[in-house]
Amino acid sequence: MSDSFFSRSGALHRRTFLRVAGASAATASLVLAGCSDTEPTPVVVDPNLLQLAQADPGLLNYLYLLKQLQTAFYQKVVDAFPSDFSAAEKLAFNDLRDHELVHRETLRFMLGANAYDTALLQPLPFDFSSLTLTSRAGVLAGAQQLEDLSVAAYAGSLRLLAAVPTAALLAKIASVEARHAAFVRDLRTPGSFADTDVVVSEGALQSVSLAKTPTQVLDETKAFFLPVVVSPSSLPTA
Amino acid sequence: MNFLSLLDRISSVDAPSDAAPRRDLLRQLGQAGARAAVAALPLALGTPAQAAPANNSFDAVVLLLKLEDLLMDFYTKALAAPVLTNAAQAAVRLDFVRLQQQQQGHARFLRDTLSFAGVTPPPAPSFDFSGRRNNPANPVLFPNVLTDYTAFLQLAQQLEDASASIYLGQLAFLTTDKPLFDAVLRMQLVEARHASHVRTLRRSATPATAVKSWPSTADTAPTAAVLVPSTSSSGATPTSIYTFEANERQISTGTTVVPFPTILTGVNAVQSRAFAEAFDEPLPTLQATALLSIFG
Repeated sequence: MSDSFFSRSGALHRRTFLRVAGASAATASLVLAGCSDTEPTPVVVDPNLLQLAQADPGLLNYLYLLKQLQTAFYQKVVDAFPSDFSAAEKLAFNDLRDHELVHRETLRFMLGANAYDTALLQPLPFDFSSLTLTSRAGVLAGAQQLEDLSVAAYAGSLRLLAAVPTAALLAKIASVEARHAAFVRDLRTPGSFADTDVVVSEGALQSVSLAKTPTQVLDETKAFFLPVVVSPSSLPTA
Repeated sequence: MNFLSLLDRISSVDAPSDAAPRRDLLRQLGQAGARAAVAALPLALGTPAQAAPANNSFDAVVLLLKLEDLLMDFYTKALAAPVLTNAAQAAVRLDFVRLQQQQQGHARFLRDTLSFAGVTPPPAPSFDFSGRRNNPANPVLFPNVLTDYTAFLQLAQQLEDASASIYLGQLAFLTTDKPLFDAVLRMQLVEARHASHVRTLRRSATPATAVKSWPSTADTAPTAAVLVPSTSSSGATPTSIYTFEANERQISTGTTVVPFPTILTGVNAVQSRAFAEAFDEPLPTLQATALLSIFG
């Protein structure tokens, strides 16, 4: 269950949000207006719209958001494991939670002042009501969905980065994400670690990882961000 | 003589104008190769194994092709050998068929990449997984890998982990060629899935080996370790590939180190071994080349 952070928290938070999230030139004047103490909050901008910035900062914020989502997911799982989780699975999911947290904080550090949420008073809440986190089967299904999506997100976004060192560090993270994904898939269905739904099975790129664009990934994850809508329209596409 | 330097010199005779769109190295090689006398190619191709790789996109593709040829040959031999024809391994046999097929797909892509660039791809070497380098007089470094499932899995894990790391290392030399970078990154991600799966199989095998699905300082160390040259200046002693994986120092940009002890405290505290586990590490070209030459 997710409360609407922005509607609940009022104009101050809404203005803060717009200031940090509204990176495009087109919204600059509205952002300025929104920051004024005497002007009413502009109504033409959707307060729940999170517009990702252009270029590398936008891409890093996109990957940072996914890391926040994954960390929140595993935190929720480890805080209340399903009763049919084995002891070994609990240890492994504690590891997964730790890895995601390290990744999230690494991305936050890389973003510095560019992190979309630097001025937010509290973290973005995520809505996991589309998942069943009270059973092993439900947790594994959710974990597989998020890990496979994460791998496809890195596969589809690292080439869009301009900064080479950034891509090198993120590739090291992506590799561990692929290990996570295979691990969770094998827990659900032994031997499914690299099935044809996650590895290209024909054509010139046969046997390479499936890749998804930021637009595809954000469309598949939109239910987790509601009521916030994350827009990738300013991100590079080539 | 390095094949690349030869072709580069041929290519420089007729270099593209600065105004032309940037051409990737392989494309330049392709143009050079097309212009070069056909007779020059076999001459050059006879030597690249002896030349030290020069950390460019051509050498990266050749190195990765040898790696994929090695993995494909390893699984092809294992699938025909007692280790995987044994009824006890019937349940996992298809997993290794999949691994073999995906390595084959990668090798095909890399061969095609060289062919499209006008270069005749090198043939697969004759690999020897005992570590005797095709010489019966040499000592066996990896005993029973094609007869004993435990020994097989132990080598498979190290080869797949090394593969993920070698790919990470070579990605650095492909950054100016976006389509090639993209394909190689996506092959790397499949290698990481393979490595994870082999580790999972080791945990569930009889006897079981205590390893996580990601390299961890908590893992049981291999009894027959794949050793590569150490990077320390004084270190004459070869070292396990897992010494690279124990790295806890990540560079965000320039010389800036991500300050884990500072940012991973309080509500963000994690188990200390997670600093290393959360990142797979590249294996440098020198170590990658040495590793491959153990087998062929």
